[in-house]
Amino acid sequence: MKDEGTLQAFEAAASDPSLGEKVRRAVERSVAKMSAHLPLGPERDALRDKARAVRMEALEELPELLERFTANIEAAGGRVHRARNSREARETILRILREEGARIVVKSKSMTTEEIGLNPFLEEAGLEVIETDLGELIVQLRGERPSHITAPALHLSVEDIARTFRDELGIPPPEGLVLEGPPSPEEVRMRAARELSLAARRHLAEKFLQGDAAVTGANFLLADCGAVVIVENENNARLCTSLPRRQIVLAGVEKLLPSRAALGTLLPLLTVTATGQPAAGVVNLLTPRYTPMDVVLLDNGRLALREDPLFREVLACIRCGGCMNICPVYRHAGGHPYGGAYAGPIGALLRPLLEGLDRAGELPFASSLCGACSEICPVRIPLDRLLLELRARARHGLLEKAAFRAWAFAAERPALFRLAAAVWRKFPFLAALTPPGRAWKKGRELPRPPRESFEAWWEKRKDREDPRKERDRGTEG
Amino acid sequence: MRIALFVPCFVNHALPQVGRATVRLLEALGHQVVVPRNQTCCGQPAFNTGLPQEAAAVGKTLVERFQGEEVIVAPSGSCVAMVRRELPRLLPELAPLCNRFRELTEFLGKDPGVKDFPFAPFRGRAALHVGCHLLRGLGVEREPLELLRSVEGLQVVPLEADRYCCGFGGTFSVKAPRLSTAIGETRLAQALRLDLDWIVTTDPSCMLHMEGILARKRARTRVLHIAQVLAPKEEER
Repeated sequence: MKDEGTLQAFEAAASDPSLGEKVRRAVERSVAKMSAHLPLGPERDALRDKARAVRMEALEELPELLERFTANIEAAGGRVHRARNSREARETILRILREEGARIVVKSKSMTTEEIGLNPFLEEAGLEVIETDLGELIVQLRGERPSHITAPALHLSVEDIARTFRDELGIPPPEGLVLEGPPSPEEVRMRAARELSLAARRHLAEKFLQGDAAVTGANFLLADCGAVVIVENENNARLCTSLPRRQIVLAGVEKLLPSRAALGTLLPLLTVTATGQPAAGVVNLLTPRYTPMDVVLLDNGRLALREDPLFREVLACIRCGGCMNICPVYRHAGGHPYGGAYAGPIGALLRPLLEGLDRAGELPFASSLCGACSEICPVRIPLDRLLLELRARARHGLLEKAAFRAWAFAAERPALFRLAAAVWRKFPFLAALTPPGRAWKKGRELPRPPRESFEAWWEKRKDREDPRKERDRGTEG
Repeated sequence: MRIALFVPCFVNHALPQVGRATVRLLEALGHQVVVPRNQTCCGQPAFNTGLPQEAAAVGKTLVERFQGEEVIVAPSGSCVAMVRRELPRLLPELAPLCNRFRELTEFLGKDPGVKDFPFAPFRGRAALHVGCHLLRGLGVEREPLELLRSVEGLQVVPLEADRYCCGFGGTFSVKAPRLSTAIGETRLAQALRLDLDWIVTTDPSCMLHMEGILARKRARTRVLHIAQVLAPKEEER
């Protein structure tokens, strides 16, 4: 998408109603399941309070946790590398792969590798990179970015996926599935989805065996036992981390947790908020003991963000995707307009905070500030409040600033404010000529001005009904 | 009880019927309504655009008009959320005054004397839309529904998207108009499928936006402010 990260990109995405329908279908299922297992309410809030405390404490103790984690990984025969930015992370990973003599790299889902742009970099260096998460494989085949952090292909229909598999892998579309024209009956589409996932599995089985090394992400890093936690449903991370000769883990430095006890607090909330599952399909706790392991810890602005007292809590995020599932903006525009690895309200915060407001300064404005995200967030990040705070740091256009100055000037001078309203009552068509009026009219009618303002009515009524005007005089004006 | 009415600027100039209904409702319940003069805006448009300084100046002017008032009520959760949640941080010296602002249904819901609205028989099927700033910003969830349910003759139909945003979002509505409208259309879709008579909302800002969408669609369904439903009907003049 050419205007990635701008409001224009959101406008373009929202203009395609079929995109929103696909996205809503997918996320509504997750939210409904979540509500069935752990509805909003005091019980959930108590868990969220605990989870938040765990994450905020971990961020407080981050330097010590990093030290302890590193010592434990090294004691078990692994290596830990620190990368200050995306470039360092990419180069470190390529160096390790070269050392290993790897040609084919299998990957399990990782938004952090998306953040550093790893795949194109490795491909340019002559390596074959294969995504093994089903959704990731689909978007990789299409040359797209994931549109959701836990469900990368949720913007696609089963028909879209059948076409992609046909064109890119030569897999014939499931029998009976109509690819063009009115969609097949629901049971045919469900069966087709199952068939396509089995076809992907057959395709991937070979790749797992051919893979020389694996690159994975991490949901958490445990300091007390030097373990990498990967939560999944498809068993692909398990195969990635056991079949190839070497495992490389890329994780943001903020993923540290002190202990397995802390993990126990977060896991149920992570899965239930992400997909509505009360428990994950598979939770891998990996140490370097069996498969040689390199852990690359990525800073990329996180440690500086940790020093920002207002925005530090953004780092508490456990990447469940709940905020996008519930977000009206995400539900109508999908994940691509955010233009980065992370979509939804958390993406609208993370991108400008990590990459700078000059690069993603419009993202905080891609929100109606409805607050549904903050209500669902398992670690109680006040996302809508922080978006508002970030708006105050964003640069405002001169025209916009001037308009608001003029508005403020009038608002402090009631007579002027009244005059402006009177002009509108007299010449309502003027509203449609202003830029906001034109924007409003794209999908809505402008309000028609009333005959008189409320205050004019009130004054007349008082004169009529209450000749003893003195009664209120003392308190008004 | 003496109640000072805070009339949001766009209620004053674009939706005066909401202000009038609020007056009729409060007076029918036996309150004495006063309207401090020269109210303009609470500053929210600037604040939500990320211009807190401009917002503070405007908000200060508004709040000071209510100096000396004990009970201040407004028919908008959004404007009250601005005054009660945001302005105290920008204008600490006015915090005690800011904290006296109440949204209409929040105020009525706390009043044990208010049980039914005999003056408000209302025919038809309606869905309730509670504005996000009232629902999540001020944490008022139960009151609007209970009030609406007590209206004789009105059938309140629960919708799947009941806790969702209508997509207005202040300046968001014109910064990303297609997105804003698309969200609103989704919010209204089920009500239109069910061919409801009314969308009743607690917030005039949501009302302006949803009315605009329904008017463009030439839908039969109309949007009303909850005060218009609860209050005695307006006399013909």
